Amino acid sequence: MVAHKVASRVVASDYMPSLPGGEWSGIPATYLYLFGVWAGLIALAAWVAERRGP
Amino acid sequence: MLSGWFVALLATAYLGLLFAVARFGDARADAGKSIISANVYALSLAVYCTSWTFYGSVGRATSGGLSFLTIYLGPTLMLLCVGVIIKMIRISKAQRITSIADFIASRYGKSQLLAGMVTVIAVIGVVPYIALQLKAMAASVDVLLAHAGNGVEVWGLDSTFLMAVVLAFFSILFGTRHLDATERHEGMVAAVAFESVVKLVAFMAVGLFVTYGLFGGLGDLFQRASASADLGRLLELDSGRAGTWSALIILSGLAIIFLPRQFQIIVVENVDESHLKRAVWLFPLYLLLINIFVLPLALGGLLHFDGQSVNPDTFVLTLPLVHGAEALALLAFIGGLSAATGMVIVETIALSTMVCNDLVMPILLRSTGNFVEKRSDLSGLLLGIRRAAIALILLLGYIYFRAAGEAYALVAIGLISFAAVAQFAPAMFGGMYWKQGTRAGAVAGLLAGFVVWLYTLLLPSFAKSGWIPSGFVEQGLFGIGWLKAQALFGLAGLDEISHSLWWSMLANIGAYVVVSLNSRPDAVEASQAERFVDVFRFDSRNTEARLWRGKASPDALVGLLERFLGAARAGQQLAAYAAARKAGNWRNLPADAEFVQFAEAELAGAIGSASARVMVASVAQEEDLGLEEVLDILDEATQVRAHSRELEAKQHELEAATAELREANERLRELDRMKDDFISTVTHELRTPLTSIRALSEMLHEDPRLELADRRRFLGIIVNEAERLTRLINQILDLARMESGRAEWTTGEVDLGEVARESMATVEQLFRDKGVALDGDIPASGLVVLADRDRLMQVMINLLSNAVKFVAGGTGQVHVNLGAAAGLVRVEVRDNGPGLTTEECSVIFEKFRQGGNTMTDKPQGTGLGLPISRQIVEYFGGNLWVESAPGAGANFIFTVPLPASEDNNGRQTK
Repeated sequence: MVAHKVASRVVASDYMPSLPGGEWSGIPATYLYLFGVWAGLIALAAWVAERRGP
Repeated sequence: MLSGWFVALLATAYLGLLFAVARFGDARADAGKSIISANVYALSLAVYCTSWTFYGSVGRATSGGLSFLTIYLGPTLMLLCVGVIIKMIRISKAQRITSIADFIASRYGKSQLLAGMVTVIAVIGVVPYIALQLKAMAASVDVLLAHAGNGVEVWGLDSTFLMAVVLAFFSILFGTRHLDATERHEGMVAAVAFESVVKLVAFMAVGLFVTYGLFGGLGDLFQRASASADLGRLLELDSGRAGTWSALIILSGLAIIFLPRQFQIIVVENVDESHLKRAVWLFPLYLLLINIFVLPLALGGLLHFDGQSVNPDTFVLTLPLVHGAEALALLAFIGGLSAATGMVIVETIALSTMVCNDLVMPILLRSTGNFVEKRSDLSGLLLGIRRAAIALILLLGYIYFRAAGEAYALVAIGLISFAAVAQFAPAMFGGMYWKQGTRAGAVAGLLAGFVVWLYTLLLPSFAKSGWIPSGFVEQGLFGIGWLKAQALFGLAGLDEISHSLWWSMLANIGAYVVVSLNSRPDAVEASQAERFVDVFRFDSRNTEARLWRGKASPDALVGLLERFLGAARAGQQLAAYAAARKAGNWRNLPADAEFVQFAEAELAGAIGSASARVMVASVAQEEDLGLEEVLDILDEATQVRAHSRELEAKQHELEAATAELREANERLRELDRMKDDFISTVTHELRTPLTSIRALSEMLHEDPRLELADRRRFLGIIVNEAERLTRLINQILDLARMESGRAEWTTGEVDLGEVARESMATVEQLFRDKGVALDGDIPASGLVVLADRDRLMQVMINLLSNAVKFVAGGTGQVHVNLGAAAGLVRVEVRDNGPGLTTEECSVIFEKFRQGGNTMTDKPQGTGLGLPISRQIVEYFGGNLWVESAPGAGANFIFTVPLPASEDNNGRQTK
């Protein structure tokens, strides 16, 4: 029952992390934030994956 | 001006190009020059981006804003779990896995039941998704032809059907070239990678055209959208959909592995595990790029077609078309065609393998008419079944597309398919990491999850389409409120996907775990669990042979191979097997466990692991080992592995100890050599004064007529040489005592300033005789250290004597400086002599080594003063070194630590 409650909270969560508001050069900060974090994650993955040699 | 025929010709030409790429890929593979590089592999993963991405993302963004990104963030996160995927690939290669159904079936004891269940779920979940691709192709053709104002029809057949026929032809040609499903379809993978590039270029071209051609860039587009209340909503994250975001990210993360086409590309078509390192970032980068312009395109379309009834799913085509950019619209059409065809081709190949191996073959093998046994070569039949399965799957997709039309059941099928294949996750992950997972548990889990998915997601979508009554959704089954399909057990307020994912996963995982814990695996299951969970450690060479016991006829096994693989292919594989076992001919090899294992693996590649096991069992008299015995063998193998690891660790320790011993031995040899050198040098040093004394004594003894003056001079030399000899012997003894630790030390409080002043007084006459100036900068008090006063005096006098020896008479200067810093008393003896080279700076502290040219100059000391001084200083915890350069004089420095509470103040200049 505890696991049920915890997992249902995750799947059915109403909580949305507060992302930066406003805009930059007319582009919404939310849009820039999402793509920026995504790109950062990709860059980090590339750095980790490629630095280990063949 | 576009015409129907022109569009048809263009599509045909593009598909022709794909044929050429695939043919080239296959030709290169046949020649042993694979074109599947890390980049090609990563791009082929983008078969994930179907027409649902190409057209549908824009449509989703017009209603859900940025939530469309969840479908692409999930795969990005899942690919970061690269260890899981590598394990999946490693297991698949070891077990010759042909599909996701084969994977699950093989893990749980090569179960035909499980393989069949997975295949049925995949077909039910994915065929409508294929219909969605056909719908997208049809819609894109309609948009282009509506713009052109004409159409194209061949023999009364519509363009979508023709396209389906061409795709079936392509899939059959490049997907069923070989019978062995574990062999890579390199041509197909190359064509899919090519299509990925085309769809990315096409989508970005349209995005740039709309953003920068029709509007003034991203900023302008977003500002115009934010001016409208409806559109401004799309730019914000809707907190009410947070649960949907979580569910969709989880769902899409599972789909990137468990959709049959994704498993085919990521696992079955993988030629090199290291390619994953590129895919782990290149594929997410691809997803990011193809999504950058989705929201701008959605906003651009909504702003442009405000008040008009234009389907947002077609914005990618309609926006360029209404602005006369027909070439760009055609490029977009080709991009959409790429997205749809890539998906359809790979999906039908993957599904056809599953249908053939896991549905049709088990039925044929059980048929009572000995249908299989009557035929000597079944390879043609198997290929025929696979080809028919491809055609049938596409036909089913086409029928579903025609029947569904614009129904909800087709529009929403993308996520419904994702939720269907997500049901494979517990059995897959559990099978890879949990040895206690059993076949009964996997069957129960899959069944429970599938039923819940059917009841909460697929059937409600049929109801919403008006195909079946919707009472079970609105009032609940049999009117029972807590059985409402999309508010099961009162869990309301969720979107339908989150609701279904939650309940189906709860049922699936719950049933899998509970039933697994309450059931016992059979012997095959237990051994397969070991092979899967411990794939990186499983010692197949030693364990496999012990896990099979029985009798088999080599001819029967080879006969089986020839029937299912064809005589040529079987002969080829047997020759390779014989070569691997270093035998000229397979007939020379015994039909042992390894041979049976080989035959079963080869068959598994063609007909799946479950059917292969049944076929091998039909010709071999297999002895039933029983669960306990299998567990004992596996346990023993685990212990052997553990012992092996221990032995390995011990061996490493032994090697390290040997290396240390070797090093110590080298050090001893070096010390021995140094001892020999020392004795040789000492002997030489002693012989020089002795020779002199002996020669002069003989002269005095043998020649009584020598002048008195000569006699006195000779006696003076003899006395000097005797003194030098005494000094030398004393110093050698002193040094020997120090090195052996037998020297006597009288440690007490010593004022180093006083020692310096006294030493300077002692050698004052020497300096005066040579005309060398000596001065000092010595504090009056406070430089008290714990040491042996006489020894420090010896060091000071030695340094001062050396200085006076090497400076020039008349102009020579020696300066003594004392100070305290950082807990040390620092003593410097600086002279303005000729200085030392860098090499000399280090060697003068070695025994019998002196400054200056020893080859031409007469030695002015014993060569032991500095080594003894260094020993003394180091004994009291200090250091002695020299700083010098040729022509710049020398500065001999030594330090002695101050006692901890010592305080220094007051200075006095002499």
